[in-house]
Amino acid sequence: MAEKNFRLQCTVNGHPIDKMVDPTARLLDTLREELHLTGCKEGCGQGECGACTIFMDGKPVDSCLVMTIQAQGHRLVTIEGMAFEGRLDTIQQMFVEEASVQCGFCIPGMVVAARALLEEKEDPTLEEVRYALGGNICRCTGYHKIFRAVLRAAKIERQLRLEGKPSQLKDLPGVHPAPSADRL
Amino acid sequence: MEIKVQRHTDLDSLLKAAASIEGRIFYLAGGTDLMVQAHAGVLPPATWLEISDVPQLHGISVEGSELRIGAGVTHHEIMRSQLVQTWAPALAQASANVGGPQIRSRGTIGGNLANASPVADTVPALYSLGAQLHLISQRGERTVAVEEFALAPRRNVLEPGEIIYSINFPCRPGIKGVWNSMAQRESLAISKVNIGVSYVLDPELEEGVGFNYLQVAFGAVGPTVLRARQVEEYLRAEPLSAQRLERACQLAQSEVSPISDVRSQADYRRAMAGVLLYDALSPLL
Ligand SMILES: Cc1cc2nc3c(=O)[nH]c(=O)nc-3n(C[C@H](O)[C@H](O)[C@H](O)COP(=O)(O)OP(=O)(O)OC[C@H]3O[C@@H](n4cnc5c(N)ncnc54)[C@H](O)[C@@H]3O)c2cc1C
Ligand code: FES
Ligand code: FES
Repeated sequence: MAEKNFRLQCTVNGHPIDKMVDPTARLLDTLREELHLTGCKEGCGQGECGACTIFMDGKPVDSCLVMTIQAQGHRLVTIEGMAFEGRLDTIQQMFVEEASVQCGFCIPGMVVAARALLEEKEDPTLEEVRYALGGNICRCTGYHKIFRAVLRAAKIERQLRLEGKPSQLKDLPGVHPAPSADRL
Repeated sequence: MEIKVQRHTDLDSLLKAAASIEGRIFYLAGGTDLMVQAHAGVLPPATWLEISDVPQLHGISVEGSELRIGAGVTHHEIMRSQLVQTWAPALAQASANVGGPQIRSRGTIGGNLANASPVADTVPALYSLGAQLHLISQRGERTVAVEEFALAPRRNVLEPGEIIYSINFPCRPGIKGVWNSMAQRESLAISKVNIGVSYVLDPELEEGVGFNYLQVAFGAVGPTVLRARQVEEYLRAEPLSAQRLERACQLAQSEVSPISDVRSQADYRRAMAGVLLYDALSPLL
């Protein structure tokens, strides 16, 4: 194990981090072992499966391919940062309602990648959902229920926006300190 | 494996470090190639210079009559850029097909080029656009044509301490382009063969379709990406017809020199080079 000789300063799920870490470790390992955020998973360790997906500056990245030193000064959000005060992100809620989860190993990455899509496109087609989840592999579900959950989440958020409400189910009670985009 | 890493956030300090370090250097940009190789344990001991936050390597801009893309620009930024869609449509399509979203968020065009891989997806697009690479080191700057950059798989013309600074090409009014590939599946698949075509149609021509500019390149069918010069000359000589396109596809098949490997057979690659050219230009008929 290499030395923890690098002072990492970044934000994770909105919280400032200031911690001595191994700069050469994979960000995946730093998140899991040092910050105890075990939502991101290691499937392949080589960028193929997307189980380790997190947000970096609002974009989905494979944390197994980011070296910890590269997170310096950047904004990270993991699956743990997506629910708000115990209320699930719309996409998470729809994964529950559509029964899109079997073993669950791929799901944190799927949810992050899907959120990235909905941040860019509020009315994605099935084709666009498939493209956006092209970097995520699920060996259980066959994907259909995952796609359905994402499309349904998009529809719900569009409806909420039309009604002039916060665009996420979790934000509905209206007592949150920050709009959802700031947390990504 | 022992890795030494330094983070640089400024070009001068980066070039200074690159000039003074003894032994092997890797430039860590998006890490989508390096981190995979590090994990597989196939890299020699080296000093890694982290360059993803060097501002001078970022940005897409039009300077004079040239489009400039910093070497550290990601595939995601390229595919979304209005400037690239306008002036380098083949490149926008190529970047949109690299990996999946997570790979495109991090992977850079500089890294794609520096690998000197014959299957790198953006490179045929850059050949078709006649890109010039600006290389920089502490000794100064020089420019090489993209076609002269890769020498063989994993070998390029970069000298010690030298990095790719930017990728530039002329803005050609009316430029159109196509990038396409054959691969096992749509996402995260390495191309069996890929193509980049850029062209400007001749507006003077009253009937039919002629080209004022046309460059065609294939990847994964030789030790480096390959310009199909015979195809280009043949197609530029006379207006396009169904017959002439078919003949051009045969020329393409004889111009490429593929090998068989785990991903595909030489014969199949050769045949598909013709098919990709046909698919790229037949909509013009
Ligand atoms: C799952 C997966 C899917 C992929 N799919 C594709 C695909 O579809 N098509 C494709 O073409 N590629 C693909 N790749 C490969 C890779 O993503 C691309 O080649 C990417 O563009 C590499 O850029 P990077 O910034 O991540 O490179 P890095 O890994 O950071 O660096 C790669 C090499 O380039 C050198 N380097 C980086 N920047 C510079 C510079 N400015 N000057 C000099 N040298 C430099 C480094 O020293 C290193 O040797 C895939 C990779 C993975 C893991
Ligand atoms: S563990 Fe990172 S992509 Fe599979
Ligand atoms: S639910 Fe098991 S891998 Fe997706």
